[in-house]
Amino acid sequence: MSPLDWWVLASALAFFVGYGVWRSRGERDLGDYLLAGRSMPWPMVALSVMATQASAVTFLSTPGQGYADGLRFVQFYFGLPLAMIVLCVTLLPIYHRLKVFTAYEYLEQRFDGKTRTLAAALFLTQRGLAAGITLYAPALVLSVILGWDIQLTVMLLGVLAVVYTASGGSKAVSHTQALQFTIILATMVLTAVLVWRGLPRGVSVSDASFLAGSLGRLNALNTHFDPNDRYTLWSGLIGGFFLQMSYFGTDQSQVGRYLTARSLTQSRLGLLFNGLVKVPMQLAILSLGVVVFVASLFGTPPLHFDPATSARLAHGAHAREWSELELRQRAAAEMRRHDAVALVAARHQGEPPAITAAAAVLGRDQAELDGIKKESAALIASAAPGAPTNDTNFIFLRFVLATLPAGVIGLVFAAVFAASMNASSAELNALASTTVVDVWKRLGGRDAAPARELWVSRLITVGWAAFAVAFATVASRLGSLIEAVNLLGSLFYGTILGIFMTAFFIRRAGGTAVFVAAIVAELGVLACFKFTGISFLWYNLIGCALVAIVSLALSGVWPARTPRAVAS
Amino acid sequence: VFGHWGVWYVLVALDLAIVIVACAWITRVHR
Repeated sequence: MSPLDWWVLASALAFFVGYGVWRSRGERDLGDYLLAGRSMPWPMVALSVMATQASAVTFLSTPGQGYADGLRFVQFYFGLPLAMIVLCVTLLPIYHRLKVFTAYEYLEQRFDGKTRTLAAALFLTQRGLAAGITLYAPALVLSVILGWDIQLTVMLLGVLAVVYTASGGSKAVSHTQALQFTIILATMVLTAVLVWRGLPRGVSVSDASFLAGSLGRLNALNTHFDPNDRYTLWSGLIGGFFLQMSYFGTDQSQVGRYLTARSLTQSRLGLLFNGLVKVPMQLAILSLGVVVFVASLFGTPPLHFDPATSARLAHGAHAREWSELELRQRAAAEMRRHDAVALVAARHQGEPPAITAAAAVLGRDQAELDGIKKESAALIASAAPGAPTNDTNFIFLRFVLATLPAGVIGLVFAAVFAASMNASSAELNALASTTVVDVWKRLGGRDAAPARELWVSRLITVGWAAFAVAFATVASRLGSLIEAVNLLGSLFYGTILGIFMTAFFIRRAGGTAVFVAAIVAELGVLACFKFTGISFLWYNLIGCALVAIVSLALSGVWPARTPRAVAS
Repeated sequence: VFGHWGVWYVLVALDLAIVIVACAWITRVHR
């Protein structure tokens, strides 16, 4: 990076943190600190909700996925707009009517204390560990690309987020998220324009689409029903619907964002706006990755995008094999470049047989490159055990560094930092809210003075940040545990959603029935994970359905003690 | 049941339907 890039990055980070701290003024009590005094208009809610979901890895890996795998990942989000509608009808009115701080308070009012504790504990476990990964995943990429120490990068990301989150609470989080997310989107648009302009002269939008399509990168929709396939129309619409219902309806990271709205109407508008723009936005970011792929057809991309792993192989015991693979890859990429130019020329001449023949040749070139890529992954796995074979998260930043002008590179890195701060600050605020409201206040902090509540909340926010940083700094030594943490959300989400849906729809189900049903459902989901090949998106449906069915069956044994007015 | 919010819900569902149709078109045309 040039001095200008470093200046842009440092200025942006100082500005983000300074803005957050400036917005921290005026907290008087817990309502101000945890829910921004319920004062936010819907545009702030919408930006905050979107910024919370879009972590740094989202902005790193989504273009990378578009590059390597095409558009099919967009199907993952198809259930989101429908989930927004159902939440606006079901849980949002309840949360606002009961004026809860956390989603789990509702469960005590509807069922009992133990069900609330179970849901809060599942959230704290899963989100507490995930907060560490939210720091670790972008720190890994940034540290390798910038040549920084990973532990220091983790600490920097953690400190940047906790400074304004601890001092200003939810209001500071919402305001910085709105600012940062706007800058992130503007940076992505600028990057997309520059990438388009970087395509070789004579390659039109239509040519680029044709090239991407003939190499399988415009595979946006798969209508085949296959429960083992991760991204299909059906897994996205059905499994994705239940995942997004759980994430937006029961995960305090999101519930805490839209409860900052000044009214139910403002919360609803915020979520519905998210439902309107989220899928097109993901499609646009994936498309950016596809354009990067098309641009790479006219150049020579590296064999492996992770420079640390590449260097490890190039200087290790298998250096000769690695060097041979690099030579073969370079020759194949050069052949592909030649044949891509030939395909564009054939299109311009407009002779269908020539176009078909040229497309087939280009397809064979790509197949050869894909084969070399697989060989390199196998070599990495055998020669450097523990090194990541998947380099998707590095693709976008490597391309940015290689092609974009000075200044813009610094802006893109600032956007990645901003995305990391957005996600981390919302997580820390939600973890603090749940710890304060669902644990501390029930264990004796009920009658504390507002000033004491504020200080305890700040202390707990710093405590969770310290835990996240500590977990992230040891994460590199945990190997497969990182994947386990990433999977944890999928394993718990269906069950948690099932508890909330039972609370809303099955009035005769009592606290003990739903508590037992939740444990049975969780065991069922774990059995699916252990003994079947069902894709993880379906766990959300299975867990939710199991809780509802078992609750219904057990409601005869343990009925609800009194009819609850809060049920609907 | 939905009151005046029904219009918003239809709008969001329609937006999703348009995106899915666009995805189907992109996939089909460039297969």
